[in-house]
Amino acid sequence: MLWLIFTTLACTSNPTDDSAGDTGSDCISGEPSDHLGIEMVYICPGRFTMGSPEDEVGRQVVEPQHEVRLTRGFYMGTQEVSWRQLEAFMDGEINWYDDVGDLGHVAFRLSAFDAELAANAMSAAAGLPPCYTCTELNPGNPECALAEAWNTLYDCPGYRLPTEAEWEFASRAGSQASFATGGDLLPESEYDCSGKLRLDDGSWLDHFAVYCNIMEGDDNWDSSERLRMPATKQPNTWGLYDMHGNVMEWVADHFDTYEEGELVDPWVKDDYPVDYGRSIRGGSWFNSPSKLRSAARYWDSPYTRAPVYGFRLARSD
Amino acid sequence: MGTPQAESRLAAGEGLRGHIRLLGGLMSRRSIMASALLVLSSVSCAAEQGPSFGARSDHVEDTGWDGFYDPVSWLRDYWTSTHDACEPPEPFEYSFNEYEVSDRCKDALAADLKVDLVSFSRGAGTQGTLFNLLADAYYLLGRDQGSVDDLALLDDTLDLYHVRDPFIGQVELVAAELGHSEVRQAVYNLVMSTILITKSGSSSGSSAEFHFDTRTLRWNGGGTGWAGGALTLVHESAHGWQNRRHTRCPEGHTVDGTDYSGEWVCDEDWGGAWGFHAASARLMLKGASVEEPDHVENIQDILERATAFILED
Repeated sequence: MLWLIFTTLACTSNPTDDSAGDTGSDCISGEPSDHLGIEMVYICPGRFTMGSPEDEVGRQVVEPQHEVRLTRGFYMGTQEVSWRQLEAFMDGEINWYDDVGDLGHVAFRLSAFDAELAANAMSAAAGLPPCYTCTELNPGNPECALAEAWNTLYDCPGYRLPTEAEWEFASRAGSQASFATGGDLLPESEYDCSGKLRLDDGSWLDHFAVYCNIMEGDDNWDSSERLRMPATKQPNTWGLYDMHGNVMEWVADHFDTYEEGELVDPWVKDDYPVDYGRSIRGGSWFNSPSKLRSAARYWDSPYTRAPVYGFRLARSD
Repeated sequence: MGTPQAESRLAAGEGLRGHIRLLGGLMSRRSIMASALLVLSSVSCAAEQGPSFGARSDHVEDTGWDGFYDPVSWLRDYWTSTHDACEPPEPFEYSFNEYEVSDRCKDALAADLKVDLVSFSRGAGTQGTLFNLLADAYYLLGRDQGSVDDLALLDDTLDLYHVRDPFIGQVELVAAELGHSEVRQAVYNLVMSTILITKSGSSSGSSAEFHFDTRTLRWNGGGTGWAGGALTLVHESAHGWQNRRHTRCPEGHTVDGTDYSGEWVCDEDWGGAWGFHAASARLMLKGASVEEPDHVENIQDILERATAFILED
């Protein structure tokens, strides 16, 4: 009994908490709210350690730890955006990829600019000002930049991509471990695609992540058809699905080394050419476990439409 | 434009310019001279864009370069662990599908090249650019180039696959230092040991450059096809390994109809980067399957072109 009580306490305390709500774990709104058919949760302002410790299994050199303070609360989509959701608020104008398959699938083969164009469309549908100014380079190929009305992306009240810091904050859901469950990869497991990978906290990776193209015991499981469905696994404690795996998610920041010291509302954008590489987070159905960690960072040209690139929406409070 | 005196260039299209600064310091066991540049057509292979990955090397920023040329002290065995990570098919197949190659393999290749991810994220750099580079390295890792013991038998100009002593001696040296029996092991390790960091883009727009002072490979496409890219890796690292530049081509020297008179793109003998380039191409041809006719033809073109820049014979 005492062991049970201790365990419960240990699971609800957070070593990085130095004031109520700092990690956001105490101020999730509780129930997700509906935003034009897209379910979002409210995440409070907070502080967390972004990046990974040097001894984290699977760590990359581009993940140095640093403190981040997010001074504004924000809404975060509980799921990766699906084709059906896009169709709902883009009036059927899904013209960047013809063969979408099941509309219930997560929208993929999207560039970062496609995602920002979609965010603008959702803002328009909700009567909110757009966060981006998008131009059409040529038919079906947008290029977007922060609308002049806003000094920083955080100022925009419309729908947008999460910043890299917001994304990692949400992915961690109060955890400083590699995964939101509080688990880390065991040594030598960073590329383990056996399908039965247990983290050091005892949790099973495949219970909350789609990764490694694992078929889950179904020999006839066509990964191209089913692995991209949203929310087929357990959500994290903040109610967010697929933060680890499924499709990689574009975020708002250009990819660069982290600045040193505590960063307040970071957003790597200023002074960067529009075509510089954009960060992508979370790993995908294709990737191995190390790529699914909360701190893991990737990048690509914002014009790139890869079959593993999707997004989820955010909005400033 | 950078510091052309300290760069070796692999130019796409027109010819090259620039000179190479001779560096002082310890002499390697082999020749030490200056730099280079060469001309290759741009990369024609286009891999589908895809998932990200990255080098896990922690020594990207710390080059460890002390300014002295002692290439033997640079040697490390990269091949064995990366070969284990990638498990290329034996016999090697000319294939590197983005969604079939594991993260483990791509991470290992990127770590061997000490890829600077931030550099590759800039400008025109895409995951496709990086993927092509890794495909080139994968080709170098897996393509059979025969055994070290057999090399001496190929030192015969009458042999279709003859290679010359400068290359043979270098490979034998690396193989002896690292205990290898296969040429591909030695060549891969020679390449990866020479490069301290790989960055995207080149200061001159050329398809590859080697910067001697920092042992930096600047990558801007490489060469034609994966074999061409793999051979460009050999070429550039040969510059770095030997600290040797090209010489001026003589008056009237033309290659593929282009006049290279006075350009710093030729080699006096088979000990330069072109000699290594050509030798490795010959061995790759020897290892290639007759079932890869397009691929074989590509290597033959590359070999012919490389040989045309060598003035000896």
